[in-house]
Amino acid sequence: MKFEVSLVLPCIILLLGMTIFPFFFCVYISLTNWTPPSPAGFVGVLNYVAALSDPVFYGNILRTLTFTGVGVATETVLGIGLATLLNRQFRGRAIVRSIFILPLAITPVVVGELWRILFHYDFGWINYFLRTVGVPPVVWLGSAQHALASCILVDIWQWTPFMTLVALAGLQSVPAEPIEAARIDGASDFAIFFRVTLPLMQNVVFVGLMFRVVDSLKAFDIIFALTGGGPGNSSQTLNLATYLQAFFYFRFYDSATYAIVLYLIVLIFTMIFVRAMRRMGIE
Amino acid sequence: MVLALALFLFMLPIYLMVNISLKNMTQIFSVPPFSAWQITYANYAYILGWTDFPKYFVNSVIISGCSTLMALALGVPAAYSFARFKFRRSEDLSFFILSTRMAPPIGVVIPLFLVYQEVGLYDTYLGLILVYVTLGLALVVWLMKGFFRNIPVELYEAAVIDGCSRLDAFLRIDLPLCAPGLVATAILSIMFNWNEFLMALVLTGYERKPLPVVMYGFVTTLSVDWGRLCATAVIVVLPIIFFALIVQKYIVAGLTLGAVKG
Amino acid sequence: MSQEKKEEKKVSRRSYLKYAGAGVVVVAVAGVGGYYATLPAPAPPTPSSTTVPVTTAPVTTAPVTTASMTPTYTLKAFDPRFQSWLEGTATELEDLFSQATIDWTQAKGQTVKLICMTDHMIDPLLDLVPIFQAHTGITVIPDRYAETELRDKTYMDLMTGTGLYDVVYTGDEMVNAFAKPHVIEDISPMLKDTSVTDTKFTDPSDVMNLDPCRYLAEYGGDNDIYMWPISAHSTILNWHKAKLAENGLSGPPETFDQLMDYASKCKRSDKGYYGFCMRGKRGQGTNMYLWPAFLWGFGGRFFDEKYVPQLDKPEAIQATKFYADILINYGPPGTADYDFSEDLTETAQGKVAMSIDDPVLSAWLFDPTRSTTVGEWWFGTHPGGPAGWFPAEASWDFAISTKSKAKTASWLLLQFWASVPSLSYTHMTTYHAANRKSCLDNPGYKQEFAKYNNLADVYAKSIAKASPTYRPKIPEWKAVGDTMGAYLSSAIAGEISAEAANKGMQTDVYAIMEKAGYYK
Repeated sequence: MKFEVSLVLPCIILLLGMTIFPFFFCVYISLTNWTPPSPAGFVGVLNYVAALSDPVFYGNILRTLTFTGVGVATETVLGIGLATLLNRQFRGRAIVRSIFILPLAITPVVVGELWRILFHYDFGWINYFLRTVGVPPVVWLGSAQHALASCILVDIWQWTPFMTLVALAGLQSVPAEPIEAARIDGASDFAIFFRVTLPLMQNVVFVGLMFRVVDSLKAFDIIFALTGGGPGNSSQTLNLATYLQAFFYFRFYDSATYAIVLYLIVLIFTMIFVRAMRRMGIE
Repeated sequence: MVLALALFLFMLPIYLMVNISLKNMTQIFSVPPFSAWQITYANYAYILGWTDFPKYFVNSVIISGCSTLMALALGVPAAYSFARFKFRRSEDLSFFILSTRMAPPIGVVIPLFLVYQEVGLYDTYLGLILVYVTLGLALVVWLMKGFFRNIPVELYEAAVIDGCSRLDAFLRIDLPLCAPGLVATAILSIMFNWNEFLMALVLTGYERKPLPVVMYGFVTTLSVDWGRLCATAVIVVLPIIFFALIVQKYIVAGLTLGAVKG
Repeated sequence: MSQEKKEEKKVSRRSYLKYAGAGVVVVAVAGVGGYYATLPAPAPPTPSSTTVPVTTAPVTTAPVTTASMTPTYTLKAFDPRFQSWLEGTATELEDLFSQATIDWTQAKGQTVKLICMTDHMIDPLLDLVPIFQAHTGITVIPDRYAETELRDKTYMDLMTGTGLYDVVYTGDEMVNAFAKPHVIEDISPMLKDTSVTDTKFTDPSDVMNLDPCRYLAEYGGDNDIYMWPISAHSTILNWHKAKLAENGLSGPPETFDQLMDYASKCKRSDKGYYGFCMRGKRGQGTNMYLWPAFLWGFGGRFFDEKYVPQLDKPEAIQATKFYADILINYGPPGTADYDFSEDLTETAQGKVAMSIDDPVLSAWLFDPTRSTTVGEWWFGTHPGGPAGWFPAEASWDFAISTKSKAKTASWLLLQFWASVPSLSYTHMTTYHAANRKSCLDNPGYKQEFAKYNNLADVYAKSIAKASPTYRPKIPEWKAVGDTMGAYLSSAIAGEISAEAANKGMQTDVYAIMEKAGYYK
């Protein structure tokens, strides 16, 4: 067997073994009306049709896309910016960098509870600060307008370090000569960053971005801990709905249906990304 | 400057967490939040005196550590192969690997639960490790692929011409050169595994429960045991910080790239 | 060139060292973990003497020989404050064991795997387990989770038949959902079997809330008992005497109109407190725990005889309107997301003049570690409407899985935990009110509860009035309740009007019932 393929083979075998059965099981369930412990009855694509005619379903998709779009974009910009700051030499750099991954390292349940306290209308720190500077306090988690925004805020807080870490690693593998050459040529710092550094980092940053998008579309832990879907449905994303259908309503078939739809959405996004990466010469 | 401000904003909730872990129940909601409070170590005493805590801690360490190592061991060679060599179907295969991360966990966890019951993998280390490796491989492969592509091929070719075997060249040239990437990937991998919740909840029981499941236990019906929750969180996050601090020293970028010039 | 080779060697050695170090750490940790994993379970104490006592209890079967094991155990209370109570309880339990009417060692050597909650209700129960293990030789392994996760895992285990647990901890709203497909064991036959039911420990007539644990005939059941309650929950009104007084009011409101009126008078932003709060968060166990009181109170109902929902009727709309109005106008902001813990915070910190919630909250108002207003609160029964007053009904219970291989052992454990001394200890230390009448006569319990103003009295009245069908006990209740809760929460948030909310409830609930096959 060729050397190259043999490097990849163990990976593939493990993944195939672990994912084949769950995947087909999930597809099968989405075509039934399984509510355990009653046996499953085949209903074909009825569940999908029902989902497509349910306005809440479209709301879920919209909210998922908003959550991902706003969140990941902000995280990427902030992340790259912070990475450049962290790349400089300064005292205590190692410690600062280690502390910086803390938002990412803390268990989601704690993050959820901490932010519930921060967001609390009466006792929370955010409103306390707002009041001190004279801005009227906001109902963060209890109001439909702000529930999703609050979740996005926490997501940004938690995941910017991810993009920072990735971008930092990318920055550090950028060779010094092109930058020096550009500087010698008289380019401004700004131009150097956007035209030399950034493209050299793009391999890594793009992969990080793609993973963030995939993970964000499937975001669950934080939203569940913060709002559980929010007042009404205002912060319910598709993955949350999948969980609720399975464990709250015991409608496993709806859960499987939503899961498959979410999977397809993520698949489409990823294909777009990969195609873009190939065209940009990253692949 | 800007960095200090960013640090302040990001660390504020962390400060809150440490703050709460040192308070007792009634003082958590004092207004204004910075009014004087008494430090109490009762929460930490409770956690550290809890007889079951070491068991869960060890569970988490074993599961996260082994999953990360296995994912790296399987994923790094694969990533290298994708980055360096063009073989038939390499793009499709790498996309397949990526697709394993796309599935929403909830759709997958129930069939896994049923299968694990049958084959006896429920509530075992191996069961959860296998799942975490499956989830983490995509990240490892694709991140490392990006890092490997950054390394110029010439060094590797020079080594091969000099008489190194391909494996040797890989181990001595490419791997050390992508150390920052490897370290970053390792840190991220460990953190995902350390904090993962849903799979751990469904696929483990009394024996092999890792920390996130245990910590959710503090969020009871009637009230959240904030003090103990935060104390646990602080204790739980320290090993990761420790690990990150240690591996910081191995991110030596400019130094090794200087070897390109020789 | 040699310089490069040296550097390469340095770098690769470093990376080798790194891997080796990691490997060593992993091996060490694995070793420690393996050690922990192989630690044997604590061995049950060996009996040092076997005596055959003379049974004085009237038995209709042949005299029972009870082998007694000299109980050796150490007791450690989950909170050091309660150590003396624990020891007193142990004495009372020893007393009961000496009068036992059954052979408690009949399931010796078995193991009961139990899934329960991490909340404080279970802590005292686990304190008593050493006594149980010493007398029976049964090993108890408790697996504890938070409520949501408990429900998930319990449901998955019972419904997929994986038989992971012998005993599950669940709420009585699930009794029909679990009894219908026969995933939990019917306890009534065991109650009649005098070889497994000890009359000194277990007395069904003494339990105040056994009816909700029955699989009622009106739902297609056999009226048998399928769960055993450990606690009884309801809803009562907490009112702050001083705050009401300073607004010219004395005594609690007794009708809905009075409630709204008092709330409006007690909203004092100048003094920093609101009029009223209660749960608004969506969920069958959160805002839908309180809402039915208003539905029934205004004369509405959930379903008609054919299970067609009646949620678009004027009474139902009035209930939603009242609920949303009082919270929007006189409650703190953000009540649309309020759960028990927010209610507790607001009440215990004195930020509201009145609230309605579980009696547990009321008792916790006297706990100095939770409340800054100890002793200032008084209690009233849930206000009523034109159709009467309807306090909530809920309980936490133990059920035995039909897939269990240790059913007798499980039943013994349940009896032990449901005995008078055990419940007294449990409820005293967790500031609950016990659900057995005999507990009220338990001296320690009586003394403790005398400190809670008129709580015991209001509690007893509420439990007596609470109806098992306060929330419909259909298997679809979870779905129905959660759906309705989402709409109610929207109404409280001011997003939609009460009419729109109820219309939405009606449509969605009808769809759920239709899909479940009620309208064939």
